[in-house]
Amino acid sequence: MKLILARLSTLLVLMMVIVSGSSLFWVSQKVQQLERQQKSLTAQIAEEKEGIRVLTAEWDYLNRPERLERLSQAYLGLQELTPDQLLNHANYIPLKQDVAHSETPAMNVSAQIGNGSTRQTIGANARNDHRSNDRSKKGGTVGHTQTPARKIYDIQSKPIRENGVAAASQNFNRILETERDAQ
Amino acid sequence: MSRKSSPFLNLSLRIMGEKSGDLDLVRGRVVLLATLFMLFYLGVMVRLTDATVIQGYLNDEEQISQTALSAPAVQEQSNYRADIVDRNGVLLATSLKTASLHADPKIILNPQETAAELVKIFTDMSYGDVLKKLQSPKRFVWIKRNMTPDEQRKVLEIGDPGLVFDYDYRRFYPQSNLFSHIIGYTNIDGHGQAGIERSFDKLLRTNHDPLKLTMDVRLQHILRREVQNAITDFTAIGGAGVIMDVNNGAVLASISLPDFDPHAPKTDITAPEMFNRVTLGVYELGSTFKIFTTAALLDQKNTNLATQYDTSKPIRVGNHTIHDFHPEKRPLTIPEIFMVSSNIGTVHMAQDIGTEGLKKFYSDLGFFRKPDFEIDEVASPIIPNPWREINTMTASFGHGIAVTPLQLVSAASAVINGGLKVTPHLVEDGADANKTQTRTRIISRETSLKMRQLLRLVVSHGTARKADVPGYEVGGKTGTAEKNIHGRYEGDKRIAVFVGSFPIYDPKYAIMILVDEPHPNKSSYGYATAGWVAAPAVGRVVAAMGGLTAMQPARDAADISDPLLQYVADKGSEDH
Repeated sequence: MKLILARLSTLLVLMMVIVSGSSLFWVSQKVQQLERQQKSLTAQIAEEKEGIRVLTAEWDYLNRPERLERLSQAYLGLQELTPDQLLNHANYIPLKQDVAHSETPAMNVSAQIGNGSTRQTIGANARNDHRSNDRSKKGGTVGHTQTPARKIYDIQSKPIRENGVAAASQNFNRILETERDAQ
Repeated sequence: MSRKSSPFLNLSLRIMGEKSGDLDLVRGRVVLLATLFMLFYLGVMVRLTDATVIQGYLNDEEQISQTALSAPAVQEQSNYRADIVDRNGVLLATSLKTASLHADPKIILNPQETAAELVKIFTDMSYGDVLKKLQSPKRFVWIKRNMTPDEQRKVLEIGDPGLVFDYDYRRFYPQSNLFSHIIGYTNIDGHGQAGIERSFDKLLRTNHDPLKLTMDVRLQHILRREVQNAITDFTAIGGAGVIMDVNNGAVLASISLPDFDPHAPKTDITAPEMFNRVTLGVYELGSTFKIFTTAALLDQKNTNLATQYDTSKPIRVGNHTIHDFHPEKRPLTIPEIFMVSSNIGTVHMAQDIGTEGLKKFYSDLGFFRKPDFEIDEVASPIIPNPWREINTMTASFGHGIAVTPLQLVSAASAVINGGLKVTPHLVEDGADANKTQTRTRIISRETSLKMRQLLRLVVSHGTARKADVPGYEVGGKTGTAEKNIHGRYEGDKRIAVFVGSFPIYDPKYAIMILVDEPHPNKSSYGYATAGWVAAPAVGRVVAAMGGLTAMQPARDAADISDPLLQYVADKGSEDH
């Protein structure tokens, strides 16, 4: 019996040695594998970072002010903002006309929109117009509002959206010229 | 198992007798040796299994990530340099990894064929040169530094084992010529040779954080465009420009034309393109110095603006005669003298101040020493030595004393900003937000305010009307000086300069534009003076800057020069 027990324990120890040995081997292999993986990931990250550096450099190269200016002039017709285009206060923006009591193309434009908001817009315009009339009656000191509302109306009668940004800026310049003339 | 067939069974053998102790010892050694051999072979076996079976199996799994290993990681001793960025983080200089090609002539298979192929790719090389390199007895020859990825691919297609790639960083300047004089350039080994690249060489090589400058790419572009326009319009040989934060001396833009491509700087460093006029150019800046003479008079003598000086007679000193460009031939008040830029009147003012007073003031403004600046290319001013009475007279209107444009704009900033000295700087220090450092006062706030009015008067009614931009109230002073070439003034070679600030009622920016040797054109009616050359350029810069920074124009604000009009008799003088 004692002999059997002794043999059994030997067997057990032998098995434990084999199991622990092989698991140690397995772990060490796994560690090596992960280390290799980590190394390659680090290299990949470095590569990506390098890629980002190149792209950033290219982005700043393509966004050179000189190039943007050239492209803008060639394709957009946009120009640098001039001080004339900066207004000091939102109130200086030329007001829309009251479409309720005049027959003009702009009325057709708002009619074409033809949804529930049209009425609201007209109402708002009417209010604005009222305010602007008030101001011109008082002979207010603000130059822009002294412009006869009629003139602004004519300029705005062309739907801006159809002509795109270039036309919008052109339109705006015309408004400003009208203002200057009026002054 | 017989006893003799297994050596292990012999281990239990006991030998008795005299020499049994020796035999035990021998037996122990045999066992030890046998164990060591067994362990050794076991080790070899395990390693073999690992290397052949296990590694092979694992590597199959890792093949996807193997490609990443093909480009080697950054070497320790690489040419990597930190980025240089502008105040908004736009790249001004960066390092990009590129491949360089070298060859080991010992293992080049067919030098003739390979050389022929290489010449096809790199068209700037000659066949003979390459062949000579490939047949040299050395083991290492450079073929091409820093090639493009496309070139690298073509070289790979030649497939000669003797061609080897080396990866390193190369400096790249996305803004090309725009910052050439400020940023400078590096040599092929990645060492800074000029500008910021040189003065911050060590920092850029060791610290990997980007170096942030105070400059602004957009303002730099506007300034360069307008200086270039002025040079083209007036067929000048060069020009310079500076935009500075008038309150803290941060340089926002600095231009010197002609300039160079930092990727391929001129090999001759004395070429005009390599010369930074802003910091290395030393010029007699003419009438712009009247700003400082007038400020000195108002501050030191507290003179009333209504004080009149007789300008009817030219001043004779020894064999020199000082006269006016457009003589008014009558007594003028201080605002009139400043407005029409009378040399005679200014000399009288300088005589009131006295030599010591003027020298002290110029010295306070920093005209007497080389300015501290973050780049190495800075020149010392040329100061008369010894300083005689005549020097006080000529220096009062900017002759006989030569300083750099950078000194001019810094000094003007101090006069304009309320009287505090500014130190021009290029590198953002982060301390701008909380300005707690003590500032040196040069003139009183009151004098500074008077000077602003006078500077505005020059633009609203005087020689610099073309610099005006409605809404932004530019104030400034023109200066047209004959160039002193080898000690002789030449009438047709001039420097036209404008220095000023806007908006003058609450100064934010100081601007200086200098045009070197402008020639009259049709539209300037035969004039090539600063009022026609430099002032309109400043006006265009201000207009563009205002739109860019969305600065609110103050159209309805009262002109701050209006109170001075009471001292001005003739309010409509000619432009000159």
